[in-house]
Amino acid sequence: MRRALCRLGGCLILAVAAPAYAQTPDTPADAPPASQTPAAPQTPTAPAAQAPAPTAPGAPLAESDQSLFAPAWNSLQLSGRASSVDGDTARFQRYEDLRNGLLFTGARLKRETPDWFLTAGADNVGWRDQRFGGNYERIGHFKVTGFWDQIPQFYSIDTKTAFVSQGEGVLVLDNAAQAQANRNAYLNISPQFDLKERRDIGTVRFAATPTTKVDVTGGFTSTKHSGELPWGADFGFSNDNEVALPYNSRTNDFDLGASWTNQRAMIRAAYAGSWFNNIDSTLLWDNPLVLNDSTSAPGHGRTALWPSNSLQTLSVSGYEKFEHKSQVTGSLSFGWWNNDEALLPFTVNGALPQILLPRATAEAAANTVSTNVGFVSRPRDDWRFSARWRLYDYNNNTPETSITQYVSYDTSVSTTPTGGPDLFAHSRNTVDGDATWTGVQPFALTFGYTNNHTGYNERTFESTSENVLRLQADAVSSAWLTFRAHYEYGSRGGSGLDEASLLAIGEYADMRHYDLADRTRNRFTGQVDITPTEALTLSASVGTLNDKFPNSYFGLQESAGRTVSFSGDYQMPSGFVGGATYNYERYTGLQRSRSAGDAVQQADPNRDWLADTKETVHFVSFYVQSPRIRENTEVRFSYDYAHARGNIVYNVGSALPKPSQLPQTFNKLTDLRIEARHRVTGHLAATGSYVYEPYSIFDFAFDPTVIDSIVQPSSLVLGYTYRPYTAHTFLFGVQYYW
Amino acid sequence: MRRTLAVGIVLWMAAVALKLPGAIQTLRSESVTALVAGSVYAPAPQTPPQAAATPAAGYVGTKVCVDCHSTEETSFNHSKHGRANDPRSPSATLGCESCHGPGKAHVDDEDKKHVTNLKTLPPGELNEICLQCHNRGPHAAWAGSTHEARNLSCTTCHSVHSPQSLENQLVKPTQTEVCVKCHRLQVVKTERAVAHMPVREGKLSCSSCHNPHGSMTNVKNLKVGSSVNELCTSCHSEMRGPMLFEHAPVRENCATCHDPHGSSNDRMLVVRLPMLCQRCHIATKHPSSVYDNAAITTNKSNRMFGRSCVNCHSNIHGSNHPSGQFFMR
Repeated sequence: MRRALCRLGGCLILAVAAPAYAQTPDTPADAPPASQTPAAPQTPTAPAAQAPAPTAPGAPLAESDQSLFAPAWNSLQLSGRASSVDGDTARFQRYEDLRNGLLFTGARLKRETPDWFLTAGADNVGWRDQRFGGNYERIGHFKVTGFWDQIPQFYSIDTKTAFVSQGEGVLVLDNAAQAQANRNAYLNISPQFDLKERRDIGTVRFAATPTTKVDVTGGFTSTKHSGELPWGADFGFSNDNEVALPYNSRTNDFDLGASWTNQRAMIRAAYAGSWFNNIDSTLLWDNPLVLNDSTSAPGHGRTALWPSNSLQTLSVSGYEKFEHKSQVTGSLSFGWWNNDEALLPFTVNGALPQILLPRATAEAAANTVSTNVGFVSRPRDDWRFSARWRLYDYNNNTPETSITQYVSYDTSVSTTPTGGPDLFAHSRNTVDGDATWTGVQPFALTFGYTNNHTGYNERTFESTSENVLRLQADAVSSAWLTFRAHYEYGSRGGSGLDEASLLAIGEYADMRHYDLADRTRNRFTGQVDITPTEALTLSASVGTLNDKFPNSYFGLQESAGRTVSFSGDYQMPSGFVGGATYNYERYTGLQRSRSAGDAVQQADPNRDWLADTKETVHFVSFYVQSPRIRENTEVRFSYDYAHARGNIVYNVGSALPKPSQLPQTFNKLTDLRIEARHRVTGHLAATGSYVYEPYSIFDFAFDPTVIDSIVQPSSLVLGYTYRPYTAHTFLFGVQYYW
Repeated sequence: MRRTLAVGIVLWMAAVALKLPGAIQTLRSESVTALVAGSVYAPAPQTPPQAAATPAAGYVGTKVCVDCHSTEETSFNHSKHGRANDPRSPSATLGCESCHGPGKAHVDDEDKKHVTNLKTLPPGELNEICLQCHNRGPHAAWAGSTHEARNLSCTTCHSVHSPQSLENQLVKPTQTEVCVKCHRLQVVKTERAVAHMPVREGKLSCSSCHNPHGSMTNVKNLKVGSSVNELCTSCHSEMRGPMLFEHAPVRENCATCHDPHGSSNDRMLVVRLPMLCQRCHIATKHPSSVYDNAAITTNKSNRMFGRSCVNCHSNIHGSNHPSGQFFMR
């Protein structure tokens, strides 16, 4: 049947156009246009002033109401950047390149005639986070878009390692140090290095409109991902090593599709393909404590890294409109997933007997069938009905694989508890319907029901079914009041419990995995926006979420969240703009486990312990933009402060000694900016900004007081820690408009 | 049963493609008046009328409109709506009256009423005006989408005459500022200091993952793929697999372990390690327990510091190694 569907689907495919399979990064023209370094005020509660519409293309910056902070075409910024950073400069930069120097950024070009349209943009030219984009459109005919973006990720400058990369995923140690079988031998031969990685993304897309009803789209994206990441490379509990994993991969994505649309209906067919190629697909590393392989310990270890894989998708979708403002929307997708990487031997330890491989390559495969069908109707002005059916079927086509033995840590042969890999698969079936009544303006009252039924392969439940009721109230048509509220109650239950599968892997029969476990959920969100005058907007919102897992003796028992926020924005006719926001979040979780050794202890509930996790987050934001000062100068100020705290409390049963409690964790980030623009001429504005950014953090898992050396009692680590920093950044330059 | 239904859907789509000329004939028999009342379900000409030198009855033409509404003319002409060479644009058809309806009654009226003022329309009626043209591509799934169901109108996020952004005619200068009005929690999470997607650095935005107009194929308005995992692995393709040994929650849903918007935990985990793993694993062999943390600065258990469990179980997303049962190889 499936083959028949594929043939039928294939017959429907025209010349192609489809949405890009890879996420479409923002082009520079879409991205926040203001200076990126320091990053423009992107804080959620510090919106830019309500400036007049952006400058028309080709028009110089006239002495008008146009704000110098407003996004503008045909402009660029040239600045000098100087930062003083005390502390973790890697964390300060993270996804950016904020080194000192000359910055050419915010370049935006737009040219337009009645026949064609061109935009182009460039940010941070010459820096590790640079990006470029361009778009050419032959109006009414086709459009071509190109985009290049570099996204760095800077982990740490504190990292050191004695491992030397020989390329192709091979990390070696000094033989003399290895022979000493003592981690301290590496202390003085581990130079500092910057731990970082980067994505380079290049995209080309086109869209053509051969007729007013036909669209053809396609695109190609190539992503190179390279660098090093922190990675665990271990030989057991007492010989655990953190290495800088060399990473080198490329992903290519291609899509093509076509659609036909008129006032009544639309139909679209598409193809998308994605190919991930891991150029360094294995990691081979030396054992710091053992020089040569033996039957008791290996001289080196080898692991498989992420296998090269591919995904092909064919899809057909469309809609049709009917009488009484009714519409049916549907889609049907088929996907084929593959990984056929060569299998490594069971161990790289030459002193151990080699176990025969089940086959030469992984032959890992899956296929998916996904359907979405929706119906919506407004038969009367005051009633709206909708219904949806969704199916997502993930079929695992990897052949059954018998693996009864494996080599643990490249050290010793062990018996596989399950006899081979579990072939996980699932099929999700969702049915949903709701009715909305708008008989009392401006309110819209909705009652809805959803059933999620999921079948599983190789999970502890054969299937789960969840019923969800929801109530919504929205009031959006009033000029001065907007109100939204949503309440949801869900109840999930599993059937076909397979406790034997838990026991087979050494788990307790009473363990329940929280993504499947019986669960009751209560969720509420509400928001009110009041606009008493055109100048003032006040907003308040609240949200709660409570999940309980009533039949889970072990595992997650309860998870809850609560959020509250208040904000206000004020804009005076004189040009003064200001606003403030406060946001509070609180999350809790309770989970149960048992600390036990032998069978007697394993059966003793007095050895149970509970972990009660809590996190609170406070976020405050404040911004002010002054009216024009002497007609040519504008100043704005913004302040953001985020403070998160985490705490875990252990409660133990009577048979267990009281544990030491974990220290509380916290992180605080402040971002204070002062920016000024001064119009020098009709084409030139002077810019200046100062950013004060202190960051403090304590996390016991990454604190320098814990990871105070690359040599730890059971580990050789990189020294990657979380450290605070304080940064002062100055930017002075010009913004040129043409 | 499901397969039969899927075949039926495909056949229905084929029927739509084949029968549409007939449907259009039916549409043409209905009056044009229903169109200008704002209903897309009323008939529309198969080929939109070209902007005629002499407007049709009831219409006055754009030149008359801009005699009074010159400000709107400027913003209109600088937008895609003003591109007369695009046969799909309002400028190539009825101009201002494509959206605001026929203007003669408004011009003749001393009180200047009798015109479609989008600011006063209920969301459903307003949206129908926009959807006359924006009925394909990323807008095709609007009907029945989450935002449509919550009674949002196109002008909640977009402005034809007073956009603040450089592209996409948004009511705020940036996407984030638009979305934060209702999705404050998700936007605030992207500001998390410890682990976040590079949104505040300008490398990603809400629409990198979501299509606010709805999704034909996916949940949560995710713009590509047919599941959460297909969306995540469109960038993080190394995790896609399938692999020889798989980790069940990874195969099911990335959001079981990760918060996609941001987190105070390393790697954007929903809760820190080892607690996250302990929610599903209490194997008696070597679980990280309440005692691994004892005086953490002195008892430096590798089951607690750094990435905890993942110090050893580094292939936590799945392993392609024959000895990878427990994701250590």
